[in-house]
Amino acid sequence: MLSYDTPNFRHDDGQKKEVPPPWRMALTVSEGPKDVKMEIATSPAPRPDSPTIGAGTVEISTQDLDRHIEKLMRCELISEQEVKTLCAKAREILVEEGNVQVIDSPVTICGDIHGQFYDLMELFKVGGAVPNTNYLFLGDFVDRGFYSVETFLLLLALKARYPDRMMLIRGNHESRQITQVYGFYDECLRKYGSASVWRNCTEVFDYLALAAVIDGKVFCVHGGLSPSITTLDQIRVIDRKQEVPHDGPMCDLLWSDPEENSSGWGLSPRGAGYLFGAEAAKSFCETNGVDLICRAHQLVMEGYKWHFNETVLTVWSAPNYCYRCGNVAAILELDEQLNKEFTIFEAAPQENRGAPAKKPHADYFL
Amino acid sequence: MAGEESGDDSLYPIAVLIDELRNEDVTHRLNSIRKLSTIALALGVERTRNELVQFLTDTIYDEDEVLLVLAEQLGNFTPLVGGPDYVHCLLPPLENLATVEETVVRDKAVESLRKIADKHSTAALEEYFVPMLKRLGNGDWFTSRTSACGLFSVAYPRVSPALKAELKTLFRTLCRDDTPMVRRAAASKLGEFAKVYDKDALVDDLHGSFLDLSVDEQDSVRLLTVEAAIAFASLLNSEDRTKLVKPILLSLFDDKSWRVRYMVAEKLIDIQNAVGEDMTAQDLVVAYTSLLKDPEGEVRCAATQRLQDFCGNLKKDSRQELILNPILLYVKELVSDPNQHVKTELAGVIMGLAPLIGKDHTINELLPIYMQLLKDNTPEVRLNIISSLDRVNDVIGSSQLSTSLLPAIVDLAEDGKWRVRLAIVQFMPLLAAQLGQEFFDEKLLPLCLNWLVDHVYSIREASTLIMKELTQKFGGAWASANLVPKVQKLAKDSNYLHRMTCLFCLNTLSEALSPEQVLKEIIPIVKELSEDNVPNVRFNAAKSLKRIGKTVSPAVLQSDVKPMLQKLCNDADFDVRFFAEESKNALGV
Amino acid sequence: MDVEAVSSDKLVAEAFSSRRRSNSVSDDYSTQRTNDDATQCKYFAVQKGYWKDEFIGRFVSGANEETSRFPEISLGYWCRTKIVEQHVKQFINKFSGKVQIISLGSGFDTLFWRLSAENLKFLKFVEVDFASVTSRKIRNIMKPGTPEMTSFFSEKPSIIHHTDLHSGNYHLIGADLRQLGELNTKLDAADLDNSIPTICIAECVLVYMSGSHSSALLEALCSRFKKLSFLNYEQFRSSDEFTKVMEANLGNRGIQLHGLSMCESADKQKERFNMAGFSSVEVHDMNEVFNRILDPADATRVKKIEMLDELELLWQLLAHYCVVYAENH
Repeated sequence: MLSYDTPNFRHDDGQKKEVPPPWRMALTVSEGPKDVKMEIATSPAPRPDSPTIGAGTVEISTQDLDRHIEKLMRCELISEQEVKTLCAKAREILVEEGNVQVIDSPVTICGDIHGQFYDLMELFKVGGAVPNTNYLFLGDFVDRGFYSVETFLLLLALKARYPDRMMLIRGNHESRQITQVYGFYDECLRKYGSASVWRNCTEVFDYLALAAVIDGKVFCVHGGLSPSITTLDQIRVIDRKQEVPHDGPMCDLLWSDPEENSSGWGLSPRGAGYLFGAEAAKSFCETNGVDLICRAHQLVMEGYKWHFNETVLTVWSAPNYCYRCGNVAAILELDEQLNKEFTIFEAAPQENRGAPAKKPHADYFL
Repeated sequence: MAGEESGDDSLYPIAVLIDELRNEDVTHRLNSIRKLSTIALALGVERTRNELVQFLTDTIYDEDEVLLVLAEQLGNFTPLVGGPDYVHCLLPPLENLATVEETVVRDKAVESLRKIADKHSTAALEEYFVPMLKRLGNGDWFTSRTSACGLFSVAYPRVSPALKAELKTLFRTLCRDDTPMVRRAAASKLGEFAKVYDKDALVDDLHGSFLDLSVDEQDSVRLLTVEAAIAFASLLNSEDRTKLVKPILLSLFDDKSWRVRYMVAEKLIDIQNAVGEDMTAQDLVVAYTSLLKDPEGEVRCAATQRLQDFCGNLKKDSRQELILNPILLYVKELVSDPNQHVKTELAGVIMGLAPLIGKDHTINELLPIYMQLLKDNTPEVRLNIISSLDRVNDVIGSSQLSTSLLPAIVDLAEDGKWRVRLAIVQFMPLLAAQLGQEFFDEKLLPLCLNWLVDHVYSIREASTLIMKELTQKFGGAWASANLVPKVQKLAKDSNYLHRMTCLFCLNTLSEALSPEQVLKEIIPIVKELSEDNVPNVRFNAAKSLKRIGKTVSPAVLQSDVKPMLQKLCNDADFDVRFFAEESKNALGV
Repeated sequence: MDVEAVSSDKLVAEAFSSRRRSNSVSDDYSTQRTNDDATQCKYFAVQKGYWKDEFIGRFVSGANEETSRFPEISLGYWCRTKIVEQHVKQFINKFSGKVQIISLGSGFDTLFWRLSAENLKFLKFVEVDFASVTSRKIRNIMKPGTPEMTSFFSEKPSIIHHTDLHSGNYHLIGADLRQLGELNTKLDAADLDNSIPTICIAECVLVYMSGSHSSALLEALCSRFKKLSFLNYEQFRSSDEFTKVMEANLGNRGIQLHGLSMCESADKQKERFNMAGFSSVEVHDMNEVFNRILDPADATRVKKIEMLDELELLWQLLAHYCVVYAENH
């Protein structure tokens, strides 16, 4: 059924060609933030079998990436300069990806992580190491947890090292504004002494895909649907390279929630995105030929939750969210036939968690 | 020009520091206080003494963070004020800091005072340090009296008999202070004071205070006398120890507050070592058993934890007797303790008694306890007990136990928590060695094969890792018959994660099998998987070839391994090419 | 009185903290530290504009003032501050200012100054906390600065033993609420009239004591003051997973919630207040307070100050705290 010599990004059942992102051309001509351009070496494109990843212009060897990964896996930081290069490389890879990333099964889908580094390690222990297991992370890598920096840089380094094994899409927390309220900004400042790492990371945020489709059948997005989006093509033409807007289709994809008791659309109490009902989900699935809408974004105590007669699924991968909520986490493993298996996991035991340098305050009312 | 900046330091006017220390921004003040030693260095010793220290004494009124840093810095200031001859000038600011209400600052000030006490000449100690100590000890707020308690042991040994007498009286007064915090400080310093005290006078002078504190109305004071009791016991001769320390110690074992008894249990081995063997045999064993049946679970826990060490420390000639009666009588009660932590502790130490009491007693006394804990509801208890199986084996041979062990093992093998399953997976080679092949094949092998398709990755991985040890134990033929068929089945599994597990098995198996077996049984599976639809499986096949290639003959390497790797080096997937390339280079083909 | 904790002794603290049982040892020192955390949270929320409090900044220790807090924490403190303020103001108005207010475990709370700044009249405001807390509060009150804290006192403050401050309409006394003899003596020193309507406030205070201690305290107050109202804010629904995590997290910092069993349900609270002599008792969880009791316009305003990324977090937190309002007359 699947021929192994096709690269991982398969074109949507052969009928539809992936629409090239309209903003890409403009981007490569005009953009490229100044501070990054400095270290982009303009060497000839590496041979495909050389240990340098991809065919881009940012040079970073697989050894360097392996070193970063090894370090970050121990929850240690890499240098500011290394972050810069890594982010430049990540942007170069991400810019090639469509707004709706086309992914082949098998793949393991993960929901919010929120800087809970040691729980991400737990996730890998349960789900398998990269690159052995293919992963799709549905966004919200940062904020709230104690280790947003290490968490995001690790995921990014894995993305840069294994672009075909590791898929990252954008969550509502991958935003300049939100990260200034929920901890990522403060953490960068605390750990690096300046905002430059935060700036580098938030630039990468703008390049992250907005959604993904697995085998043409499973639509994956961080938040949910938008009343202004009927077809996948409408997502494909969004100019995604920007800060998450306060409203509109791009905002909705990252902010919306399913609402059990309604059929169509409702206002979201979050103040962004919409509530979508069973009918909205059904018609989206029918229009686009998908069987399932898989999303994250909402804390569910049991790790995952079905909605609307199993057409919408919430997957949540931050156990004991905020180190307070007492919930379990889940990942969804899709095999080559799109068979689903959920694996539930709990927060890493105390002895597996490094002590944070400064004891963070307890988030209760005392 | 570069030198100018540092050159400025030498002219650093005290006024600038004063300005900085008055800055609204506390981080600013913290920074300037942190570079206090640089400033002192620049000022020179005389101006430091006359201006800087003076200023710090008179005007410091700041946040606790700033005071803390100041207290710490002053402890290292001796050379900066001109050495031992002038060190006493540091006493006034530290005296002030030793009276503030913030404990951390006070403690730091006391620490610094202790540090600089050494630097004083005897004369300076008597002229400046002791008067300060007396002021603190007679201070009208509890904070200064609390701080005073920590300074006796550094001053006392070096002063004249007359001053010694004064200090003795003052310390005894502090031991009877109205404020519990002061008595607590005195109690916690009693031991260290006793150590520097004149040996002959110890009984007459300090013992009374020790006695008073040990019956203090506050349990937080009494529990601190446990340490003091240990110090006293090690300082006194056997007769005084029995007469004076023993009754106090025994009353602490029997204290009405569980926190005190807990402290005793925590310090049990220190106590045992300090009181000597005589008392251990007679009274300490009885006192210990009272901790084992303590109404408070936390105390029983701490006491149980020390079972093996305590018994091991008993005098050889009476040891076995004492363990059998009374200690084991109480230990038997713990087997059904309502507190699971007590049982977990017990499970961890119980078999440590086996070498102390010999084979017959182990079978008659320990084994029933062992078997009962094996059936406990808590997985941690069972894990602890199974992990001490080798010690059972040393005494009696555990194959007799196999039928009793099995239900516990099966339960753990299927526990809902994957870490419990992981622990038992890792015990499998040990169990295989202890329980024999027949039993293993029949009862445990199915568990091992099941773990290969566990839905948790770590379990699958761990179960592939034990394949090698098992094969080394039971032989290649055994592996061919029992493991390989299952592994072959995995290669056909519809889930890529399981097909990769198959490769991980092959990795470890290839290192335990003969080169012929590798060629006949392993290579064909790798070949099949190197053509898998999923790139992840293909690059894992490439990785496997790196390990497996090292176990085969050069001929096979050329004829079988090399073509596979060559093909993989031309794969469409980047990762497959990468790992194939890596394996090719590693094998030199 | 038992002010300084055993935790000031490293040896004991380490021995005890290594134990897994959560309520190993009463650690008063850490309990007193909870005041610092509450003060910082309030200060942060006030700076963000959740409510107005020009005095809280006087009690914030400089090096920590930068710490930011998540919006659900600020919203929760807003809710707590407002409901306490609302109850106390209603009480003052009901008796036209002929009332006494006692704040138990007051920490660095600023209610006295906030009420005074609004020109609300009352006869006496008494704050009680551990002596190590009151001594620091006194230090901050006496420190010159703006606003001048002492300018709201009706008499020149007199300070005893660094721990007690008396100044006519305002009294700050250092006492352990578990030592009733001491507490009563100290209350006598504040010159209270036991027949005048009196309201006691306890925000996250009773929960740190064992059930028997808090019941004894409630009983003692109930029999001393003939017309007593009691406003208790503390944990709620304490038998679920959320609370287990809370116990573990706070336990890690040496904070023990000895009175959690009293917080299990509304019935449990009612039972304890009834037993202590209160005839009417009402209990509301903080979601009710937020959504139904406080001014809806203000609630809408504070929700907009910072965009809350996950409402579930707020509802879960608020569901685990409650206010109990009890009267003995």
